Amino acid sequence: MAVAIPIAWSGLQTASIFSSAVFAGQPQPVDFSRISRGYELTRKDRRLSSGIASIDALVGGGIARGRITEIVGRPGCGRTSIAASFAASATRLSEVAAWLDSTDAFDPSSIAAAGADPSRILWASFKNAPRLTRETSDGAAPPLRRPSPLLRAAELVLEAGGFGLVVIDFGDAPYLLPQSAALRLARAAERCGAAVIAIAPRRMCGTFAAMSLVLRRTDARFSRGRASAPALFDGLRITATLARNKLGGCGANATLEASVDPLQSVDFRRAADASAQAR
Amino acid sequence: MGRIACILVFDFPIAALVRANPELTDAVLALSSSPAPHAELSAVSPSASKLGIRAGMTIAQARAISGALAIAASSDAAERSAISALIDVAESISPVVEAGAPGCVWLDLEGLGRIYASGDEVASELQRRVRRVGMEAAIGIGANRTVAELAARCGGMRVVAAGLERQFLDWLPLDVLPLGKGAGGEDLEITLARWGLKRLGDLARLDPDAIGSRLGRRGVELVRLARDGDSRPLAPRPRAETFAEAVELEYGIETLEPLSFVMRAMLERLAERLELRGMVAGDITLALGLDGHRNFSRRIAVVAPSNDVRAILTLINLSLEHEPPPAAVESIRIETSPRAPRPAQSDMFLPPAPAPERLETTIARLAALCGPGNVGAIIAENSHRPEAYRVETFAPPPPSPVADPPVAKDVAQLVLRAIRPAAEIEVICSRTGPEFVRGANLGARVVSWAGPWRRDAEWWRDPSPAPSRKRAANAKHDPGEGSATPADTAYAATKGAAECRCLSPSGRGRADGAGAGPIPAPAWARADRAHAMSRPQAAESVRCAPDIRAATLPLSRGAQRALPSPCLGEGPVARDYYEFALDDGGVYRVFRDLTTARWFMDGVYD
Repeated sequence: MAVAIPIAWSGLQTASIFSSAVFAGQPQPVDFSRISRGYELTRKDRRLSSGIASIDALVGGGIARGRITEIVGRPGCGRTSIAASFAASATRLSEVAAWLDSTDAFDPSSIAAAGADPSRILWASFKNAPRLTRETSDGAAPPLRRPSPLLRAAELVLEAGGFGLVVIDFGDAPYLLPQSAALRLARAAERCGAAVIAIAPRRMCGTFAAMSLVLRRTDARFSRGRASAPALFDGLRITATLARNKLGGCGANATLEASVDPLQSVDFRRAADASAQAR
Repeated sequence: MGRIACILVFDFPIAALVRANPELTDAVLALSSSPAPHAELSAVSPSASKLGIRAGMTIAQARAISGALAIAASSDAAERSAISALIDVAESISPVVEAGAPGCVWLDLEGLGRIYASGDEVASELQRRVRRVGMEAAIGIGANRTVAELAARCGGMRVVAAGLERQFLDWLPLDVLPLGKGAGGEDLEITLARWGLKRLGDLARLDPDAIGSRLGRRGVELVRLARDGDSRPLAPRPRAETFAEAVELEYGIETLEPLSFVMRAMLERLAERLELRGMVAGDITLALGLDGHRNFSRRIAVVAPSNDVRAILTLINLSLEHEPPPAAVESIRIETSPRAPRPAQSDMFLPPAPAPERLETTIARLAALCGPGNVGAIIAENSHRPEAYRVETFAPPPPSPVADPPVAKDVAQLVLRAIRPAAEIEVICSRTGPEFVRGANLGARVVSWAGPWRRDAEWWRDPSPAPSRKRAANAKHDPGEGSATPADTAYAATKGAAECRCLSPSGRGRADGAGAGPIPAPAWARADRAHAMSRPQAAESVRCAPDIRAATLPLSRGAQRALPSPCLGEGPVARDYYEFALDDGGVYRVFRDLTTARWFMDGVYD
């Protein structure tokens, strides 16, 4: 039995289904606005771009708001630089961002150099945060584990609302998030509508991450003005792979450069290319 | 002719106690100054009154009537809070308010005709607002305060229409007035009853002069009250500058959770009062009476004034968790200074921002999780130390319209992940440069490296004699210093005072100031020059020079703690910065402190 189900959207969250088979003769509208409200609190077209052309092209214009995006890789592969570019983009839009730092690694100078406005970034460091454990009354049983302060803080920030971006820097966390914690984080992000970036050495949130960007450092660029001149550190060449993407295709790669001084680096590279061509 | 309204709460001590302890609302309750069986009851609740328990009975007599009788002591703190709440209710309607006996408040209704259509509407609104602050009141409205109060004493809501006051008063029994005693000390109630007077109308028909000659001044006053009532205008009172709620506990509270439970109810009552007045709670002053007649007070700053009880309670709880009271709490007083509410209308075309009160609560919760100094806006300090920063209170500027969409770039800005505090490392050098880096959880070969960039600054803060120009001149002619050719090495310095000196091998970037000529390293920095790894000197460096080895070999944790780190605190900065690309895949920022010849790693480019 063929059933034609034309869907007519009325408003943003209300839809009606007309099924000629079920309602023979008289199509009856079925309002499932409540269902759609429950499922889709965020719109996939609300994205936050990084301002870096190659990354934006890779992730389809930007990371989705209300979802978790993982930026994964070993230390030194450019994770923080990519996250900082998203933070710069958010603060440039006058949005407020939060940066939850598990290892006290936030460097305000270089984050500001990346274009982010530090006055719009709520920073919290959990390097010396006390471990949240709950001792049992008799002391015999092992202490019950509570959520880590970092996750608790992330939920608090997302519950407060109004943040455009929340960056959770897991540092070198050797563990994966429990599914329950990742689910809570995803739900909180969805309710808040903030883009959530998780910086971690490996994928942390499992199926609850909408996007996973795996970074790999291709090489570190050192250059010299001429042969006898001392070396200068120019930056990193990074390969980004879209390992997971719930909102589209995955598996695409992009190569980008992260430079200590992007403008001079570009000029220098152009000059070097020009001289190579001349030779 | 003006109109006066009277708010009257019957059995006010009981009502105040029930307001402070809502669980006693339906209890058979009586007040007594002592729990002893022979002590007399001073007031009884309506439930107890229905059972036949009366004020003046002993506790033993009352318990014989009802075994469920609860005896409590009257609470001055609760009564003061209740009186303030009644006044707040009255002031939320009219600016002219006068408080009478406890539980009785008059307010002038002059000019309210445009807001309230009739007296009944005013009365019902007053009753509703009194209920919001936790009490039940009778409302009377009349031409003057006596008529209004007597109308309220009739119970419920009663509005005496203009011109019908005499008619209303005539039928009231005499005992609604406080008769008192006459000039000769006789009880006027007995005297008037002996005269056969039962109602106010009977008294009003008597000649005041004749009454005055028999009963004295009080008699004349009674006749005047029975005829017209008290026609004195209300005396306005100044507006309260603070709002307070107080509770005296019957037992000490030692833990935060029950204390929070009690404070929540107090804050809810306070928030109701503030909302009635159209105000929001500002800074909170918490005064706790402790066991042993000690006091404990705390002022809690509320950056974003609001009436959100949960947010305020969170701030108080976090403050008490941070510094708990040293003994059991026996009384609580919460006082707040009211503020005008903040207009919170957001712009439709601007991005949303966190609500100030929620943001404040969130920051307080974060501070409780990770420490108060670890939350805020982190700003790079204006210093020559690249690791210097300060944490400010997070107060994001208001959003501004976005002028232009951001332009996509091809190259990202490389960001440093700081290592705080800088980790001490051991750098093993060969004749051609650094070869191996070893430190805590680190051991890797150096693949490539760049540097050094010298930071020589803040030497003026050094208590030891600052490097003089003479030293600088000597250094200039020292063949060992900066053997790089001018083309390869350029010194940058700030103009004039040379506040910071950075050595840039190629002369491009990294310099903190405009070049103003060569400024060599100071003499105390030159002492370690042989091991400073500027590129031309690298060929002359030796593997593990003795002083480097001495400084970096003791890598055990205890030994590291024992080593002083003069380069990481306040004082002069004399460092050579490098970038090491290690074979573990990272590019690290490394510096060598020239005063101690020790190597540190303070960041990784990520």
